[in-house]
Amino acid sequence: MLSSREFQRWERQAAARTPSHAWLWTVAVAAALAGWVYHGIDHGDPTTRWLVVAVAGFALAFLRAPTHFFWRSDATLLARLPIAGHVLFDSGLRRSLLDASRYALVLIGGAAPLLATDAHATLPYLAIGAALVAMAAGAGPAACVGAGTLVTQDRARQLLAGSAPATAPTAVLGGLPGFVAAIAIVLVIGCAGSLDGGSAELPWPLVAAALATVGVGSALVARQAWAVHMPAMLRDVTTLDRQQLATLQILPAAPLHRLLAPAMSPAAARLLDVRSRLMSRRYPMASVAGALAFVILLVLAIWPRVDLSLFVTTVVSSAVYAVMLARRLRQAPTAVPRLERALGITEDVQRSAHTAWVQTWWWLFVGVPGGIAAARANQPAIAVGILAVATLLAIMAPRRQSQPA
Amino acid sequence: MIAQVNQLSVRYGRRNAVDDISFELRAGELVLLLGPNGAGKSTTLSAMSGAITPTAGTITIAGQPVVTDAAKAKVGFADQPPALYEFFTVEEHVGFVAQARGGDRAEATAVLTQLGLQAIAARPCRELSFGMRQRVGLAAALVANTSVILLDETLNGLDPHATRHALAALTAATARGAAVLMSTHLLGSAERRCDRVMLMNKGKLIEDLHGDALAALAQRGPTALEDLYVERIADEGPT
Repeated sequence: MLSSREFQRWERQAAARTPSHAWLWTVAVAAALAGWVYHGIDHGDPTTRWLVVAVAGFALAFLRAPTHFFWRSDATLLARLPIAGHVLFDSGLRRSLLDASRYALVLIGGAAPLLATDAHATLPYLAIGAALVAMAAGAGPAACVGAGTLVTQDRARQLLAGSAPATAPTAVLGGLPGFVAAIAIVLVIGCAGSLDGGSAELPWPLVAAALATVGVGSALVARQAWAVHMPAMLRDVTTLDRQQLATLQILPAAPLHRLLAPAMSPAAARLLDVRSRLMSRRYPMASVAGALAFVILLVLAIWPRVDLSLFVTTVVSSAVYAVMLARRLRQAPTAVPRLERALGITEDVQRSAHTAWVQTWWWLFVGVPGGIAAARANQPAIAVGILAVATLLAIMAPRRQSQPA
Repeated sequence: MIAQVNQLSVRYGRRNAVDDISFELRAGELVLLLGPNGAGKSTTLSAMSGAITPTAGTITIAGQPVVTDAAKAKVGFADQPPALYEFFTVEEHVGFVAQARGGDRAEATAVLTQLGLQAIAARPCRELSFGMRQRVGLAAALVANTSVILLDETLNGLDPHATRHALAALTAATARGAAVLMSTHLLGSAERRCDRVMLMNKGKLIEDLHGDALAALAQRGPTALEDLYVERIADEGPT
């Protein structure tokens, strides 16, 4: 059977052929962050800017972990091949480590102006950043495999044997990683005041040490205790996907989609409804992150700040997230393309449905509250310009995604 | 017997996709699995491949539960559409599957030659047409001497040459003792070579013809199987 090394050699071979500009984007984001932090040295609070991006980047890196473990695009193939659990776990861990290393590069690049100005004062920030990197690399995989094990060992069995609705067990798959990420973010916010030497609920050395320890330790424990369940996890999640997809076909359209339907072709409206249900089940963090952006922008609309940094961070990271979601819309489970082909759904219909989904998400969570916040900002022209560029980036994303052959 | 399905049920939400079916596959058999869309054929094959978890029932391959590595290594499944690594070449994809089953990458070359796919061995999977993808899926199902070969409408969309290559490869597989279970809507070449026909409808196995019964049916004429299908399954549209 395949060893970890052999499997990863195949993966690297596939990755080398797959067109990806991830590292280029990483360098670009690091440079943009460095420029923004540098600008903040004279015009605002540079360390706050860096920390806000660090937290947003952590959420993105952490929540990609499920796509490296049980929501892999090749899950249906891997589930039926005799590949050992630790081999699958190592593969997911390696992908998470790659994400974490890109995240680390952004943090280090972004911190360059701070280091050049006052290296000593920057060290606490870098320590927290390193701890967040360790969490993304280790606790993300551990939370995923823990959630998958829960589903495999307990709740999926109940579902598969009974007539309970098919939504409950899979909520754990996205919910547990989201919960762990939220705890880490709360801890960082709790110690933020102490990073500049001030008082805070929690001292930063304690938080950094705790996060780093949990990050490294949980990955080791997960590999030892839960990796063995990976094949069953892939199989059960594939089964639950099929169950959910079967259920999707018989549910009535959601109220929001009934409103949008007259503006679309019937096929696109139906596809939009299916995709929305799929996204809300598989990526509940899309709604959580959207709601978070909505609340921040609403707060900024009510209490406009002098510094635009929070507005810019929220809008830009939301746009980046919308691009990721547009990509995710394309990576549907195998059964969906099959169903779509059976229904005669064309590339144009797909593009139309995906654009509608991203636009709905964007305008609901970011566009409308962002517009109000931008209008009330003390530099409204800049704020509106940034929002316009971000909006363009977000709503064009589904059109730029090419259909796999 | 090489594969045993015992009281298999698979439920999707409130709907029974497969409802308490039992059958066995014997070494060297080529079995056709027929039924209308939504009959439960693909779900049965997926469950037998170990790709999905049954709601109830057991599946064993050579005496081992299908979820064990030993059983998985013996099962080849060409699903619909075939799950391929888009950025691998054809040879790499089949080689990966061979190696995952404990075989040798070199076996991929032999299977591709058998199926007449040498000319596209170096082409990336993402560039393949529908029919070519079906054939690569079949190659991946056959590689590493699998002893239970499950095909989900794999012959659909193949040209006559490709169909002939595929049937020859399946005949060779049964000759070495493998069992082939193949769902299809295309009766004809496959019908003439099969040893057994199973008919599914609404998740139930409603007919299992083999031996003398199948021979008697064949004597009734070239459309006898199609006539039986129409007679046993009412035209209700998709279920």
